[in-house]
Amino acid sequence: MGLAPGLIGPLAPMHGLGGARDLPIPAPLAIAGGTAALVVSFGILVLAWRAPRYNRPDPGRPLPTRVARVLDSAWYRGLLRTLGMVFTVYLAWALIAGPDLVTNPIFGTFYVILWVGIVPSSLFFGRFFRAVSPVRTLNLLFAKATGADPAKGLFTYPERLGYWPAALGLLAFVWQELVNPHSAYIGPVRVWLALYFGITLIGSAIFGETWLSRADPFEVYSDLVAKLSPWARRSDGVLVIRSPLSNLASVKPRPGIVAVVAVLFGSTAFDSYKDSVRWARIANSIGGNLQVVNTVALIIFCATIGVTFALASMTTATEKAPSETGSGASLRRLLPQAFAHSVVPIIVGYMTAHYLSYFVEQGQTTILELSDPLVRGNNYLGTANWSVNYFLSFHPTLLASVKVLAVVTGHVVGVTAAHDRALTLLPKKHQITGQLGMLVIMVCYTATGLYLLFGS
Amino acid sequence: MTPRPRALGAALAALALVGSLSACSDSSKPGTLAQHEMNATPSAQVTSAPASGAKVIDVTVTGTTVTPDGGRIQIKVGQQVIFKIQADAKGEVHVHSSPATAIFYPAGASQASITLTQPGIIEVEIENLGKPVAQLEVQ
Repeated sequence: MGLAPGLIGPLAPMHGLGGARDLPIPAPLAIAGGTAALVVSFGILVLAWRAPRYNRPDPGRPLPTRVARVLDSAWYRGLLRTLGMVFTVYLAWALIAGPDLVTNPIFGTFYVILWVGIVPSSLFFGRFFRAVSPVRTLNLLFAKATGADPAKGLFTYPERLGYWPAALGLLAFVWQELVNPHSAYIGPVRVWLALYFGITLIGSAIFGETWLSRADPFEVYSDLVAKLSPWARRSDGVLVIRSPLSNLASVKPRPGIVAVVAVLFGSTAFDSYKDSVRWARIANSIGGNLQVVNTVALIIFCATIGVTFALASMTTATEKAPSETGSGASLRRLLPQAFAHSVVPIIVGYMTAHYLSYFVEQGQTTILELSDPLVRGNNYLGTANWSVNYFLSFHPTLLASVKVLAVVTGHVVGVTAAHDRALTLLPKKHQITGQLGMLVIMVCYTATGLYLLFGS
Repeated sequence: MTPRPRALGAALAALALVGSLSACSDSSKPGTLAQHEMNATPSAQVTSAPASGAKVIDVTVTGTTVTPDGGRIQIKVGQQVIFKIQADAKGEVHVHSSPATAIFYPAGASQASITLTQPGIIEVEIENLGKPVAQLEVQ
């Protein structure tokens, strides 16, 4: 916040929305959480199963036919699409015609309901964003109007691009949320969303729906978190229920997936760090334009996660004889992708800890505001007179316990997922030593996360 | 049928969207917060002594230099917080509670009092300078 006045105009609050932040978690809780994570990690390493459990193709129990028929029916999917579209149009109204006030519901919807809400909605309902995505619906409508196949575009999507476009899109979002000092002004939100719709719509016309599955940051994020839900679709298209761990193991390794998880995790860690007194002092002493300093710091946080994770996963197959097939080097290059899914639970745990009170409290505020899209005292949805329940903020000990529990749970699930993947990839004699690198980096991530929650 | 018309349609729709949204953003004015507003009382006019147990925070603003400079200050829920402000020009102390509180102060010595009832960390800054004053840790 050490900005020269007039350089970028008056400062909006750094978080854009919401005032008070959570109190730091108490030291004993942080230490207990860290110790638990450490002990469980090595417990899993030494005591857990020795044969991979989650490498079977297409596990899961099919849903009852009646339920599956409803969920797969055209009218149910159409209903979700219609709801998504109606909500989008309603918000576009607030975005275009609404005033530049923080009480305009577009801000809370964009930064809280959409961004933070992706985690719980996908965790509970599966690939939620894809089902209601307005861009996907528009692509379907365009295709219908021209008699084309929505899945196909002019060209085939180059598979080697993988999730890289989504990683860039996610970085663009977190930059807008965390670095842009005007994040809570309507102009930048309009520009961001216009670019989002432009890029996703044109891309889907060129590459078909594959573009949306690889480049739409919200869809990619939602699909990844959905892999921790019990809902899945078998390769023959049948809806099944599976354990979240075997669902998680079905994440397809693709180029750019490590970048996606690195941006998601690194940016959330940066969000915790940038509000600390320490960072305010450091940024002040570096001087220069705070926006530039924060941009560099955000990229360093994301890159650190990406690089450390790639290195740690590459140590996994150290001893896998490269001479046998001559493909040792190329196999090693693919290892980070093969392990990337195991960071998803750590991200979800940390996001829960970082955003829980913000989501619950700012989310309620947004639901109130949604009744009044033009901020002129309307009550279209009947929610304007509700009041916000600040239960979580008033019970800081409970909140802190839930946060630590979320981080530790995410850690345990992540370590288990990595353990199982290591068993499928590692030769028998290196099954324990080969996992150490991965285990150490995960303990480091969790310890850092707890430290940030403690020191914030 | 070729997918070409669709590409064109999507491109046009996207362009229209970008155009309309960017056009709107020109006219946008700075965002304003939902907030409580109050004026600091010049010290000469302060008659009542602060309640016992109140936390007094002395804030000095000289040019663009602000003390304190953003450190943590511990206070209790419900404890009265008194800002004693010494400034060479008028300005605004912004307290990022929910909802926010804006304290407008005159040049010279003045003071204002607030009470925070919700636990959490609350940033206080001199809004017009964009400089941090303190982070109140409300326990």
